[in-house]
Amino acid sequence: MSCEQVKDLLSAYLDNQLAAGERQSIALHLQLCNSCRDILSDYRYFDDLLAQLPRITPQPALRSELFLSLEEYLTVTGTSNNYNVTRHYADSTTSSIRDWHNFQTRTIADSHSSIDVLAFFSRPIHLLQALTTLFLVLLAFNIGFLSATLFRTKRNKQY
Amino acid sequence: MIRVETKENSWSFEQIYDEYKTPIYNYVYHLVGDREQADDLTQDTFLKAFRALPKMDANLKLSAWLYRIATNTAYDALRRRKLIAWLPWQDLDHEPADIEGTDPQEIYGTTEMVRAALRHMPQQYRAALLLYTQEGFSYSEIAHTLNIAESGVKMYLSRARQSFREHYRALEKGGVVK
Repeated sequence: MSCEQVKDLLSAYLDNQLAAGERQSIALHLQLCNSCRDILSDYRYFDDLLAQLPRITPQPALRSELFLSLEEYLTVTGTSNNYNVTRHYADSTTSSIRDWHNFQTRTIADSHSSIDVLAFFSRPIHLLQALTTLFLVLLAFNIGFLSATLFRTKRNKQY
Repeated sequence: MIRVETKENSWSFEQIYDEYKTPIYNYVYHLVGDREQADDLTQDTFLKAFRALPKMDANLKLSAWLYRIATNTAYDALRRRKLIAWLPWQDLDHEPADIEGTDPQEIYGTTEMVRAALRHMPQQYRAALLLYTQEGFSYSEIAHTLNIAESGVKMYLSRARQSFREHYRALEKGGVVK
């Protein structure tokens, strides 16, 4: 096996995903080739680094925002009553589960677009973008109006 | 409290969130490389999941399914980011302008080097590598999550490791990563 062939198989070799014959050929190659041995040892090292990458805990506010959005969604889609239904759902027979599934599916399909619009504007950044656009439009309108008034005043003075 | 039942378990939405919030958040964060965006995308992931859960089959593998939603949500965001060309790319947002002649590990620390190298990798390889090393997914779980064949996972992980190694070593030398 050439180095190029071995390099392509080193990752699968490390994960024990090769057939016995291939595995043996690579083991043999590794005994003789420093460069491929270095790559394999790098792969091991980087796997460890990635596994040990510190985990960031999301902000607690994210949880309350999420469940607030979910509640809004259920209210707007008219499925908030399913809080009761779902308690029933957890303890009940398969048929009532299916009924609830069908009900949810139908209501979700019916009201997807209005929810998406609401969800879009519930984000501060999106709301800010919308307000900025509105502000710019009003500003452009005012500038146009003022220019027209000035132009008219100037023309009246001339005559 | 809303509960959902899979073959393996019965969950409330709150339990699902508490169980998966940190791994999903970190996975999304490493895919998009931006914490603020990771906040939004994590929320989107769970909202999509909670909306769709009642429609799902009881045989659902909750973990792989959640990661699949997270992956697609992050990919969509990355596509949008590429489209909005005038927005500054958040890549290496902690990177000082001139790092020549200084030991990059002193500037970044190993963790930041790893994150920077991840950000420079092609997104599909990055996802596979993260699922394997960080989340401990098997080849078949990765295949299911990324919607590819198991033989494809072997290739993805091989390319991912080559790419990560190349970018990490380049950063280590203080070189510019392409």
